Amino acid sequence: MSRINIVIVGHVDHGKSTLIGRLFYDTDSIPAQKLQEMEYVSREQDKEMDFAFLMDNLKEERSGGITIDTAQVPFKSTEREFIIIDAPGHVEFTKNMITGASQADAAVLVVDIVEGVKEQTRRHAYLLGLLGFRSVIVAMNKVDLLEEATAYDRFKQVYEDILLILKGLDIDVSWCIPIAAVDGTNVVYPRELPWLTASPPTLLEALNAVHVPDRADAAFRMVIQGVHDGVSMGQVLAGQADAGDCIAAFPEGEIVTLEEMPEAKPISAGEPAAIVSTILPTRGSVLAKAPLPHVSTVVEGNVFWIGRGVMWSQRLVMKCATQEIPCQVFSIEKVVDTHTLEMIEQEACELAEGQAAEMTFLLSRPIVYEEFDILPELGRFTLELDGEVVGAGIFR
Amino acid sequence: MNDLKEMEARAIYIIREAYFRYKRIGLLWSVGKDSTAMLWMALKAFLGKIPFPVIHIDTSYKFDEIYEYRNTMANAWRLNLMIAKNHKALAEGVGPETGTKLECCTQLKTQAFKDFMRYHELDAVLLGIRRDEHGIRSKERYFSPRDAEHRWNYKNQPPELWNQFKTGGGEDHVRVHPILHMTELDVWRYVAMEEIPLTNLYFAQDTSGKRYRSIGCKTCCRPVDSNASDAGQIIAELEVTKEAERSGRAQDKEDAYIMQKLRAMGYM
Repeated sequence: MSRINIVIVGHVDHGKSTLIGRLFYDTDSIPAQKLQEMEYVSREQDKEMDFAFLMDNLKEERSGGITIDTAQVPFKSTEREFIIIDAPGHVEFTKNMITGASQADAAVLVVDIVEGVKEQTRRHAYLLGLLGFRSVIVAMNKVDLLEEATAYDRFKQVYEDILLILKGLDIDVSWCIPIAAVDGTNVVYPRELPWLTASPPTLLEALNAVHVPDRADAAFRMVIQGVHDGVSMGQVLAGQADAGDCIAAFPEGEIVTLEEMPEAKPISAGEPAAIVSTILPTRGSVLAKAPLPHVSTVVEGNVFWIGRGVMWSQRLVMKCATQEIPCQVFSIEKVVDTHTLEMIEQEACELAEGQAAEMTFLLSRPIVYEEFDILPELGRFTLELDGEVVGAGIFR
Repeated sequence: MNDLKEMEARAIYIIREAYFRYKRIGLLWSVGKDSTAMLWMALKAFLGKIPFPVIHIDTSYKFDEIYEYRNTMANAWRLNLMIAKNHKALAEGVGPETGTKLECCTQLKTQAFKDFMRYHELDAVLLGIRRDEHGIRSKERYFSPRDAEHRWNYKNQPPELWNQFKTGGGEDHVRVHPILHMTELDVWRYVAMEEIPLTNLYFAQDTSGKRYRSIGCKTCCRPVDSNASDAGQIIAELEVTKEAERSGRAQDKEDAYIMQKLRAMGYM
């Protein structure tokens, strides 16, 4: 049984933490001591017992009622194991939100059906798109607050608003589920809603159905982390290889023969590997079989900026798998403000924190990359300035 | 690929990243199941011989079994074992009975570790903490930068995207957490799958009906009621229990935020 990581995002106060608490509570996953601790802290702060306390563990988070940093907690359904990633909704903590979301296999976007789409609903949807998500589960929360007579119209209205946003981002809605985290409606246990004729799955059923691709049959790709004791060590991202195989080593552009695999053979997707070959590939090398990946000193990407602003011609370091290559910003186009999702400038000479853009980079040596949908590990990159991550993106 | 193999692959990737990115690294080995599982993965990462020191923080209040097991395994696994000890505090009589638990842990663990790191000028250290152990640890990063005082700036952690980890810029050193993603049950399943030898403290001996679920200093750990005498029986037990792992640990109980306070100051 493979474990999957689920990130829960959405506007602040739309009920992410409560939903997570409900998932844990209804699957009987909260440890006894944790329940006691939650009761104890609630008493100390003179508040009612709150599910949000499950993930909010910092003192500041509990007294302030706001999630600051991402947290990951495991839970189980009868069919599958999950890691739930709670991502802060507050705009100030966006880097924590994307830290959480970048570790996820699937995403749940929580929307308060009464409030409808808000600034961070859009923003988070947009960030999910930039991080490479191609589908999300929409959880329409707080349906318990609706009047029966107008409930369906409201549901339809908010659903259409969300669909419009996600369509523009090239993200599919895999499910849109009306829920009430506060009483558990359609989270783990189904409940018929009198105003809805269709019966969508519960959120847990939707999570059980998430598909994670297996890359064992894809074209062989291995990234090298370093050489130790005459052996190249790294990780196989896709496909398989065996001793005697001739493979291409990039960016050197040499054909090498795999001579020996001290650990296991053949080496296969997802595994750590150690190899000895005719020429020892070093840190940053990518080994591949046909069809070969892209190799270039000019690359384009959709980039989200999380650090201090940059100008045209700024020198940065681009990191992709174990490749680390100095680069320069060649162009900044289609700058978008991720709060409003409005396009600010068609062609710009600078990019500020919280903005996204299509950028072109000139690299000081060739980088090996791939379309994100084919192999995410080689389809995404981060950008660093003085050792700090300032941007992240997906190759175009 | 099964989930344990995936978790191991992730940990080995991180261990190798730490080694290939930093010149001077060490592995913190408490001799407990988590850091022993991590040590096992480090052995696998480097084909049977760990190319950096393994550090044991010795409060001198550990169980006798811990010292025996530590020395036996250090030989068997050909470890470069180094001991970190706060001799000054011990000479001054710091201990679990002489003050608060917070003070004792701070002096004999955190301070001993800080002194060791400073003396040996390590750039990175591998620690076997897990997210599910404690709420505060669920907020950790795989690569967690620290200043010279080992302070954890939990309010402003660096972003950690995909498999890209913080590897330079401003910090004194980095704490690396290769098994952050594993749960207590995962570790036991991994121990069983790999047949990793552990200290007997974890297993009920004879018919005592007691064993330790979490081990540390003999003065501050209480055994749990259990007849589990091997990893398989422990797994069966954990699959049904709702009791928290650290419920036998005295230090966590003094106040609601003690772990947050300890960790902000540099506790593991």
